Amino acid sequence: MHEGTHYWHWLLAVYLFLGGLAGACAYTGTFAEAFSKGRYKKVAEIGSYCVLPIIVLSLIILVLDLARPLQFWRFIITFVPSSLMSQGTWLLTLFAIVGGVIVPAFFLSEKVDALSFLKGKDGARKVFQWIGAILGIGVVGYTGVLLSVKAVPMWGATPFLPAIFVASATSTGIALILLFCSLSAEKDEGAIGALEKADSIVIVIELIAFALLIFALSGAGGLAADASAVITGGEYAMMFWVGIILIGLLAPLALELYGMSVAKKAHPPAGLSMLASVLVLVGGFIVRWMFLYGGQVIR
Amino acid sequence: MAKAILYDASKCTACRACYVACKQWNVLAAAEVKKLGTYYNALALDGTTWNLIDFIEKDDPDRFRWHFISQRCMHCAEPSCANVCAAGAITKDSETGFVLIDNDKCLGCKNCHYACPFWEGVPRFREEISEGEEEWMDHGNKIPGKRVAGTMFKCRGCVDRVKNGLEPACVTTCPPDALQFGEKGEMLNVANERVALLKERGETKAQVYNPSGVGGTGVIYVLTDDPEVYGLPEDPQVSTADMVTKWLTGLITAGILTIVPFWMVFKAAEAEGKGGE
Ligand code: SF4
Ligand code: SF4
Ligand code: SF4
Repeated sequence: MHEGTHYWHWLLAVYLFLGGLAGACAYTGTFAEAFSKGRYKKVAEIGSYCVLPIIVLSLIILVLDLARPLQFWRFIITFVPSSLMSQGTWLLTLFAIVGGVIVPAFFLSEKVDALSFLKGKDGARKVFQWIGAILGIGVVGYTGVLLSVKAVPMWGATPFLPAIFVASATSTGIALILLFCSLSAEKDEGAIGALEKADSIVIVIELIAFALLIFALSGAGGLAADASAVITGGEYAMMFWVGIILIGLLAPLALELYGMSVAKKAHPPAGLSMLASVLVLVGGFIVRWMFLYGGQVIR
Repeated sequence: MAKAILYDASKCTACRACYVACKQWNVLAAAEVKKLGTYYNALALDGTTWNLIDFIEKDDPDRFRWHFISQRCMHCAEPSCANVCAAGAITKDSETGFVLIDNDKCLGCKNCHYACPFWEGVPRFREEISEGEEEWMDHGNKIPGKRVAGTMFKCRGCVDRVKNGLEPACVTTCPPDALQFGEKGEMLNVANERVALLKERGETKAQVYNPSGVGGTGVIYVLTDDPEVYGLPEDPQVSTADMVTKWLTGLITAGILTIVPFWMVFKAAEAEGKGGE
């Protein structure tokens, strides 16, 4: 109602997006390697390199978004279990160390002499990868739960916001790795196909999560129903239907399904999966943006 | 023993003396006002407005009614704002039960604003501290807390006055005694008696507002209509109360739903990979 209290702005949307992306890159790669019994080690390697730059950027944004950035150390010296911001600060820090530094160091040891002491220690690498993946899931979950424990109907009136954020983050993580796979010189068609297939399933899950959120919100009546109207027919309807559903979800899904269907006969053009990845990334960012701003319309 | 402020909407005349007294005692700058064709003078709570009177027009079937309500921090027994503060800047004063922000520790992340279930988020942000306040802080004696630019502000229950045997400034000033102050139990008794009397007089919707979802509040209201009429949530909850459920839906529901496709897809790939080798 009062614009003056819309304190959270786009920087926070970027932060939530990047946090989710970094977390998902870590576990996407780990799962891909582990479940394929090592066949897709390359996917894990690419994913692990993405983590540090993204997580550092998101931490910088978190600090910059504070009104008193120089006092940031107060978040570090305090641990308040009931505070999502506190849980998140700790999760991000641990994740940055394990997923962002230790795991990539193992991969780099095959190329960098200074790290040769880690070379060939695949057992240890896998242990750290799993720890990183679990912390990554925690980081991704936190970006959704942070908003959902607020007295803001669109975020907190139902338990589905975290589900949407996890699905969306997973999809963006897959998309980023897919993008790098498609760009890399020695293309692994198998990996690309598998990633596309996984992403298409995650997109369907995300669509279901969106449907659940909207039905639950509108069914709850009162302010919650008003909040769902903001995205289905109100101020943010364009952003939701066109930006998220059409561009961010249905278009990449169609591209991926098309890619998979032709892959059996011929090599699908690489541009196709790249376009799908970019759309997923853009859509994922719009998801954070729409919820951050749209949520603040109805209090 | 926890203290409580009682605001009786059936006695309030909307003179806004409480609003002025709060500004004066706490050395808070006047709000800039615009003529809106209404009786409002401050439109919303903000960093320098910790208490304001809201005017509500209601067209009941039998008559037209005007309701007043004092918007302010409710001093929840279980404060959501304190639960979400990662800096540990918000605490409950053990002596009075009032919820206080330590502005020295606050980083201005605004999580407390979004977590608070009342009045569209009670804690409000302030970019600047005015000259008068700095002078006042130097003064030293009646300071309820340091004022820091770039942090959150709200009603402090006038702890500085209470600890010196006085009532909060808004209570002392209220001409029709619509505001009262005392032990929480005592205030609840006063409120219940008042509601009984109002009911006798035909105010069928008269009720005490002391919502249990937040453990009860340090500001108790006597209302003459349903809470929603006043812009109050009927059943406010501590916003972090279902944190675990939300973590679980985030992680288990979506987490498993995400691991499963990976497992399906990459497991299949493993088999293919082997076949091809
Ligand atoms: S009303 Fe809001 S700001 Fe006041 S104690 Fe309760 S949660 Fe905190
Ligand atoms: S804005 Fe200040 S008081 Fe509020 S949660 Fe953040 S650090 Fe704590
Ligand atoms: S108790 Fe003190 S700080 Fe709170 S509204 Fe009254 S005068 Fe203002």
